[in-house]
Amino acid sequence: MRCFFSFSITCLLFLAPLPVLSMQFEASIDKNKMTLDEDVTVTIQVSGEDVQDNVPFPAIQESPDFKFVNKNNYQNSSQNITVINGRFKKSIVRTVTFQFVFKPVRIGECQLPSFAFNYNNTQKNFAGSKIQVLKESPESADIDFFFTFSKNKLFVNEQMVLTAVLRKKAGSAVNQIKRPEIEKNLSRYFWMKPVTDKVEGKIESVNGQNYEVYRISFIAFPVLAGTIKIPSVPLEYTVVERRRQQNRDPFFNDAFFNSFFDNATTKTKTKYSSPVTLEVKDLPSLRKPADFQGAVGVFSIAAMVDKTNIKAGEALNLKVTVSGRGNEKSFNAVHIKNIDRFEVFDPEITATADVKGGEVRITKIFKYVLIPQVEGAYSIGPITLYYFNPDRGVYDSAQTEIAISVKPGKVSRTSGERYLSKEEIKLVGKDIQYIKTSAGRLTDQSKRLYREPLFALLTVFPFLFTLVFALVQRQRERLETDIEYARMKKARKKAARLLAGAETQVAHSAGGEFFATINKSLSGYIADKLNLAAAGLTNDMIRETLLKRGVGNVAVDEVLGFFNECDLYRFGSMSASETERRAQYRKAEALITRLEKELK
Amino acid sequence: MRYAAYCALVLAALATAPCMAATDLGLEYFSRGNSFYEKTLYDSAFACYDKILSMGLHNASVYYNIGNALYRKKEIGRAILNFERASLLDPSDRDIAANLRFAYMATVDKIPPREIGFFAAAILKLHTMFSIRTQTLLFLALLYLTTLFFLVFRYAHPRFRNMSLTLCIVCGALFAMLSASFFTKIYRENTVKDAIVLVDKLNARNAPDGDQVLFSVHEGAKFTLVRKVGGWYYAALDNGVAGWIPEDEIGVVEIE
Repeated sequence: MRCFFSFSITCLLFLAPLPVLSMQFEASIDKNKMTLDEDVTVTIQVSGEDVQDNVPFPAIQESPDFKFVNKNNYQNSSQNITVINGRFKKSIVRTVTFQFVFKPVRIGECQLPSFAFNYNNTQKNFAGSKIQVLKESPESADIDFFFTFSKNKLFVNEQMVLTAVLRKKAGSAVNQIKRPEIEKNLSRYFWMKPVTDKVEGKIESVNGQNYEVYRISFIAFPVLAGTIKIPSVPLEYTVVERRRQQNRDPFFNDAFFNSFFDNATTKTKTKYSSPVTLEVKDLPSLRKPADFQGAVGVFSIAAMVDKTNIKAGEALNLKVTVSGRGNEKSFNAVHIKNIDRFEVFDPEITATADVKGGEVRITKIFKYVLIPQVEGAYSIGPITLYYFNPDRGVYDSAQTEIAISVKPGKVSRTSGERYLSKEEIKLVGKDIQYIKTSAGRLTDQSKRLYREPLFALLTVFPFLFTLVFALVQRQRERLETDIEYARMKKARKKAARLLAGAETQVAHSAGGEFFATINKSLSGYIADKLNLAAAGLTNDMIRETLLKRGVGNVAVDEVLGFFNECDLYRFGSMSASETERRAQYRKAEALITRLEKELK
Repeated sequence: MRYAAYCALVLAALATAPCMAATDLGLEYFSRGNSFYEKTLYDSAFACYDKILSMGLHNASVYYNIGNALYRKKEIGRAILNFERASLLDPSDRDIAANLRFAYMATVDKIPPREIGFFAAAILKLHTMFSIRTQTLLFLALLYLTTLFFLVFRYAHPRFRNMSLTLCIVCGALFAMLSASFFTKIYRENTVKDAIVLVDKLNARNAPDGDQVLFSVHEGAKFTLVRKVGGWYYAALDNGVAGWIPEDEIGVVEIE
């Protein structure tokens, strides 16, 4: 059977698919045999969660056999709702449909153009398939096949009646007609439900000619928005063709034999329905409720629970029934307010759809298992289904709620998707905090600074510093306040400074100046050390005081002898050579060092 | 001189390079672990986080995320153990404290903690407010500030004395409090260890490998370890009940 899908699959090849995201691709053509007058529609469909609004048209590669007529695109989206840990999680699958119409330019086996699709780093190539273009239609003129709609302008998911009309000329050679696979071929454009399974033919007169007419009706819900071109649907039938035998033997050239040897053959042919265009309006965005799931039609809602008095932590069955006319596929959840008071499990959803009085009546049941977490008397809900009423052209809602009484009890909780007993995990009111998404500089925090030697050093340092600082400060204060102490402490330094001056005079001074300096340094030193006035120092005073301060007699004699020698050189006629001056300088140094040691 | 400065810079860079590389790799594993976690591949997430620890990077965030992954795997005991370790490294982190509380609520045993008074609770709160690392730095900072203000008070111009005395007293008081907490913490860290039960049910016995079962606890229960004999610990629960428990059925709350 050469049905629409079989040849679309065999004819169109997906070449060299590159890494594909979570997108699905589907491509098809509506016929594989045609005449020059007809056109062919190529349909490419892209769907997935990664598909956004801005999907570009696939690029058409040039083909010498066909000329491009026009192109169009439509999109629709469906929502998947799951319940995880009491929270509704919504995912949107968007489907974009591209249609390209081509006309053949020559007769024979023609190659359709190929397509290249590039979106979000996803590339896909669709090779063009081959189509037989015939001079004349291979179809019989005795049969006609087309579609009619109860509405030509309607909203997405709005109900309408789609009728496939099949007309066969009475008494024609058309013998056997196969039921066309309309639902299968139009499933990407409509969600359909047949009005009846039986198809009965009627004789009708069209333009004075009698036809056997068959009508197959469906309740259809368009799922794409835009100006939709419904492509051709193939219809297979057989034709009986009679051919007269051409015999040269005059014996057989007789009416009797002619009728007897007439040869009847059956031939399978395909008739394509004429393409139809439909105006499908998208649902208005004005005043669209935030929790609108996509339901279109007119619905009512009812809810019931298996028990209204329950203990916290015990399971409760909630059954929500949505009924009305509309497409049950267009919504997958109802909105339950204050659901966070319950532990919620994914609902079990069942749906039935019946055609009554020329329209689809649906009943969709959501069965929830709820575990109340909060004690008290309160309501489940309001439980609301928001829907678009196409009759009124506005959004509407159906609402219900159920009062329950929750008594204190051993509250239990699920962890993950498994229901665990109270013994395993006791109740907590919330989930764990989410993981850390950033670890900063990710340092090793286990290192203990207090174990480092530096820490001990840094800890001791302020104490040591304070101690040293205090001692220094105390010394400074004493030097400032205690003159005797200050003179004594500074005596050596002062004498050394004077001696340093004398050293420069050893080589250059005439002698008097040098001896005056070294005399001053030693006498100044003794005066500072003994806290005496340097000007009033006499030999007796020096001897007495030095002896009192524990300096030995020898040292005292040496000191006094030194002063006498200096006086001789300074005031007497003695002159000193450089060597003698240097020796005297060293003597002064040695005496100061000796006194420093012996003075107590 | 300039050459010497360059050499010093290069040497410093070479010395810190392995550390930097380890940190970068650790961050890479951390991010990979998080993406596995987001895809609910908790085993893979755990493996990535564990890799960071094996690199010697013991970080509170890593232990916290491990705890989360293990909690999702319903391994409550090990989850608590890792939250406790995270808390040891950063006791001031609210998420860690919340998840630790949460995980303890999911345990089977209800062990009422010893009751403490308001002031004791307040001091305990202050005690757990900072990590030991932060406390070390604060200890040094307050020590230096107290010393500085003391020296200013003692030796600086009289007009600074009142202010520096006040600051010295404030810093000194803070330093004293912090030091008490700091040294207590150091003492506890080096002498007292806690442990978490990792098996479904653990029997505490009267002696190491003893015949008599004193009491039973379940996964996630927390013990304070008192002493060890062979493969057994003498350990006490928060309510004071104590017994001998096997080493291989618990996880010690310490950074290995």
